[in-house]
Amino acid sequence: MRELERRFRIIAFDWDGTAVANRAADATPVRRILERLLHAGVQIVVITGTNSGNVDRQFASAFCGPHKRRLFLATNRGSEIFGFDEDCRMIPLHARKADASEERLLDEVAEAVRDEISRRAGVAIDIVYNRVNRRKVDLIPEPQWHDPPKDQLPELVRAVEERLAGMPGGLKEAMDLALRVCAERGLREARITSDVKHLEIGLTDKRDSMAWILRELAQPQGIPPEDILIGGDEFGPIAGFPGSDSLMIQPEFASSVYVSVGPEPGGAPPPVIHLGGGPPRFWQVLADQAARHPVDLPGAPSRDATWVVVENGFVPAREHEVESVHAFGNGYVGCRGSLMEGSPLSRPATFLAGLFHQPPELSIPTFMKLPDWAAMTISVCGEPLRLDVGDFLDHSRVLDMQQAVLWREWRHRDPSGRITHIRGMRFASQDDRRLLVHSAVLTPENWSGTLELEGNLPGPLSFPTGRGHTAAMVSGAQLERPQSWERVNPEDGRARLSLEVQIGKSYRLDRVVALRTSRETAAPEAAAVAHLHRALSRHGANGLVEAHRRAWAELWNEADIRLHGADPFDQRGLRFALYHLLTTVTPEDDRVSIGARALSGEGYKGHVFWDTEIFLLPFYIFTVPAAARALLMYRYHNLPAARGKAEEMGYRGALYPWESADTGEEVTPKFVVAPDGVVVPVLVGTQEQHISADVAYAVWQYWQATGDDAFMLEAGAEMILETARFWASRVERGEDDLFHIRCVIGPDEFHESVDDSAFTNGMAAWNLRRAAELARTLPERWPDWWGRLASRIGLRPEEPPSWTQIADRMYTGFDPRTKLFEQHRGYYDLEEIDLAQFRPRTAPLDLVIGRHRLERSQAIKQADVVMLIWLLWDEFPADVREANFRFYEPRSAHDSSLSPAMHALVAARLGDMETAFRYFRRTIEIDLANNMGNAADGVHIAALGGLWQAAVFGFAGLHFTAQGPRLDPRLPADWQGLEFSLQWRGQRYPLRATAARPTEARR
Amino acid sequence: MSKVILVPLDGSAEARAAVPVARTLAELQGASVRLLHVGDSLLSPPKLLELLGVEADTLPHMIVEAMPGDPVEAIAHCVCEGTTVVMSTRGAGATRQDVGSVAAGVLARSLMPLVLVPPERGTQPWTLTTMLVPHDGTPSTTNAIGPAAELAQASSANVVVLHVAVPGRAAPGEPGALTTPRYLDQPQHEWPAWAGEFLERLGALYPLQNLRILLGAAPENPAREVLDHAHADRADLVVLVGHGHLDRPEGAQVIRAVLGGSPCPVMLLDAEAERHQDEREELAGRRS
Repeated sequence: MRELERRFRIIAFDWDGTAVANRAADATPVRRILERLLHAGVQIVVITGTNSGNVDRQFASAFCGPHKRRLFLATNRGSEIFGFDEDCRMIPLHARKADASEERLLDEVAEAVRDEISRRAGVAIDIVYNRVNRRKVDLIPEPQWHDPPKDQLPELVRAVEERLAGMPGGLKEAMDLALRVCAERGLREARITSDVKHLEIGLTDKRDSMAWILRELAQPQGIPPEDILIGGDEFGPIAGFPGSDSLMIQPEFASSVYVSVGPEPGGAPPPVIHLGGGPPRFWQVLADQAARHPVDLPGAPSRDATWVVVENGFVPAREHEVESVHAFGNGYVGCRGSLMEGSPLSRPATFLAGLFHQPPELSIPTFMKLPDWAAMTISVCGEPLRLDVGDFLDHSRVLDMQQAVLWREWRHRDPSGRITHIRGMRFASQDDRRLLVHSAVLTPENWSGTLELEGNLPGPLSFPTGRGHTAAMVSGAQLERPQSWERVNPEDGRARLSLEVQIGKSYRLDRVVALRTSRETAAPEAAAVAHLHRALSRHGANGLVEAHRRAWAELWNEADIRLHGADPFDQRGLRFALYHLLTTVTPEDDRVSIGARALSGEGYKGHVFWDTEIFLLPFYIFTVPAAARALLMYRYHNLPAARGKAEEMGYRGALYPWESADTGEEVTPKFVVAPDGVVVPVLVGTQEQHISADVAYAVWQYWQATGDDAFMLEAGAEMILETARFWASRVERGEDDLFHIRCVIGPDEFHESVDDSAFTNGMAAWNLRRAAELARTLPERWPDWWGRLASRIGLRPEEPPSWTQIADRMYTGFDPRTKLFEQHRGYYDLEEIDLAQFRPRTAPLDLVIGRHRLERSQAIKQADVVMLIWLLWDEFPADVREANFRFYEPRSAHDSSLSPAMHALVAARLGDMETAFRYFRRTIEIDLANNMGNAADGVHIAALGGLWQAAVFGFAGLHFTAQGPRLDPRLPADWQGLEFSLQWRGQRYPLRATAARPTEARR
Repeated sequence: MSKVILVPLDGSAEARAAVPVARTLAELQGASVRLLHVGDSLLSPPKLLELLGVEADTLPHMIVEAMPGDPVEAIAHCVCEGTTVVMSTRGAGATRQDVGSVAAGVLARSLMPLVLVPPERGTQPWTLTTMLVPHDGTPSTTNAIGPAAELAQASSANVVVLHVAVPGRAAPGEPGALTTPRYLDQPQHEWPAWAGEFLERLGALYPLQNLRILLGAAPENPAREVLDHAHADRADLVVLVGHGHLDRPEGAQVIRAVLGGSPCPVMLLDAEAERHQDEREELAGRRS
């Protein structure tokens, strides 16, 4: 039957006589098929004249699960619609309730009809009153016809016609009579139906059920009528009047497919396809539909190459970098994109933001690594299914950045020749950050036999950090339907499932993991269990996928940058940056920040650097301001530790740690053993102090962009004041009557223990000026608050004025003749090295020329003065910006991943597009080409934040005026335009930069 | 598969330098030793041993034989799967820093594993305590060092993996190659991570104990860096992996320089052993 040879998304059907022979029949066969359809995502609507309790007892109460939320009962002849909640309880979705006058009218009409038929036919007629919105006039109230089964319909028709012999028109006349009485008594839009035994006079009928399907199911989901199958057994005329199912034929459903499995003695009206055969035939139709909804994953990867990062084949040595690049997360949890079955070089890891532990062999805290929740080994008839055993016929992994889903496609032939096809998807829910989801579909293509799965299914497990916290993980899993997993090891959560599988049939595995920590709740295990239960019963795996996709669609709506005319490589590179920036942050937790490798790897032990404030925060400020606020609050909560560090070093105020973890204390290692065996002391932890000014700078930028005064009062001002206080105590007045900052490390970490770093002095002076400004302006607006703050931090009145004096007399190293800032005292005396002679270079410069020579050279590690020029752009005239970029750019070795993006940004603003684009490309390649040789430990999130800045502040030329954001685009040669949106002072600004002319925000 | 140590000898003192190395390798591998003399005169085994200057009890499980013809061809004829050729780097008359013609011929034919022993070390007993493995970071090099890794496991030798960065030379294009980190954001994190990554990639294939990594840079001459470390670490064996370019100057240069200056035996392994074996079999098939 051609019309049935396709998939329907909604199947609506009459119950009694269509799905079951009668209300006493065993509904198990049809329930099994319907459950398969529900699992496959098909929505099922049972349309019946009986009440919901009857259908529930016979059918619906026999099963439970999230798929049941796609089942609907349209009962009592169109008067009610019921659905099912997360606990599988029946819940009313719609009800038509007759009012008192309608009830009275129904009684009057029924009684008048009864009396008239009784009079005309000369027989006793009864009324059944207790029905919702209708009355049933019983035309044959005789014991043998108390509840006639459907298959006795012909006999029933004969018996009723004989009984109504006194009425020449028989049943038809009775119906006409009822219509007339309704009209006479004022029962407008009365619905008269009959099952032969009864004449039913009511307010609703199956037309109302159909209208609900259209209004509440099909239209909201965009399901066209042709995707709806409608089944019944009584479409054709019976005893001279239309069958009850004919009311389901409505104009709005003209392109739907109707089938009848009833005897249809009067023939089925068009467009109904008359199949006959009763319920067994209907089951065949349903089973065919189930087969047409093969077990599959909910969705597929994006086909747009600019949205995906694809890894085809399998090179074991690349696994670590693939895992980093394919990492996924939601700011609360991050996971590396490891193979579920593992490999000799797999390094799976799951990280929870802000959760650190203290390994006994280390003196510093490191990222807590949770067990591999997605681990799952597969055995096929006893043989392990692994990429390195047998041959993979096809293997690809796709990071779909648009959906934030890691997909996998794997066809494998094991050494015995069995071919197994596995498709999988994994994600960290953006809709519910405490959930991880893994679905896989396994198909034994050319074999039948035993499939054995063994994986981590903690139920639940707790993991103490050793630093006062506990993480809890619990997993729920099912293969097609809930199965019994045999617990292999309760301590590590491993469990096993064995299943006999059939050739060609697909089996879907769904795993959902819930996570909670003692950082959020006193009883993380119980909370995780409850969380998982709620998620599974409310959504099921498919529902979680949908919610996750919707959440990401909203994120991308805010964050995407669309390039026009650019090479797809550039578009993909930008989206890669945005994707990882978005997977890394959560506004829900203001006690965590972002480690140098985000949540994608163990690199840098999860420690937080200036990267967050200077390289990442601008993206969040203008895209997810709530997340930016949370990141700054992390610094505020850690202010006591920063005060402690300053005090320990003999200073006042707050000196933020160069590396911090969960407590805000300094966690920079004290030394490192270099690969040449030399033990090198690490001085950044004590000397790279510009981070305090960087934090203050970020606070100010956030405040300027958002106008979030509440944050400034609650936290921001205190951070700026305390960091200024640090600088005021840190400077030394020299014989030249200027203030100096001695023995520091600037961003150029090739040169340690230097005096008067231009960057450090410049940022410190900026910090002091802003603090003094706050001390002038805030008391005017909030005098009481200011009084309390000043009292709490012991701020003396003479302090703020002294900050201005210090800033004004800070040594800058600026030479008005050359327009140059000397990077630090004595820099010009160092050896000039032509870095071009070492190209191409695959090693850091200190390895190539040696540490000793490097320290005595003008080679610099990364943007330093160039960085200062960018951060304080408006403080320098154009010729100063240009002169410093031209002087320092050739001297930069770019031995830091932070460097190229900043050079791209500044070069673009200076109009040097060739240089800008070269550095932009280089930044993209840091992770996607793994040209650093160390993507294995995680992505370089600061470089990715820098890439966003290069695109937005560099190429688009974003700047702000009193009227709002403005663009001054300078685009790379092939780019025709660049579109994005940003948030500024509570409003969203869609922006478009074109190569031709400056562009204003479209508002 | 039985293992054989093939030791080509010509009766010279220089050639006999291979014998103690062959003996130790045979013990470590559980291999038999096959002494091969290529010459026109066919002597009885005792006479042959006498000619070669080898005492009968020098080597356990010893086989001695003679073959006529060209030495390189004869050696090639005797090499089959499971064979390791152990021979002197150069014969009598060659100057130090040369690779002898027979050794060069065996090298050019990629008859590997090949252990070339500097004749200067004489016939003193040889033990394997420290093995130096220069490694370019490519997966193919990792895959090729299997025979050396087996030796290291059998001898519990210290394995020093040496990665030499060569500025001015592009990184290997092989997928999965791990060179030095081009950027070094924070050395206190990057160096331990890089070293760990390098060793983990080796450890995934070979469960080696006593493994450590060294990083060197050699703007001019990577061979010098290898030799310096061989001296400094008192290496007993240097393991070099060839990548099918031994007949090309740039590849051969480094290997020849190491062979010429190495204070200890050098084991040469072939990253493209499978391809070379196929070529040899094809050639043999054509000849037959």
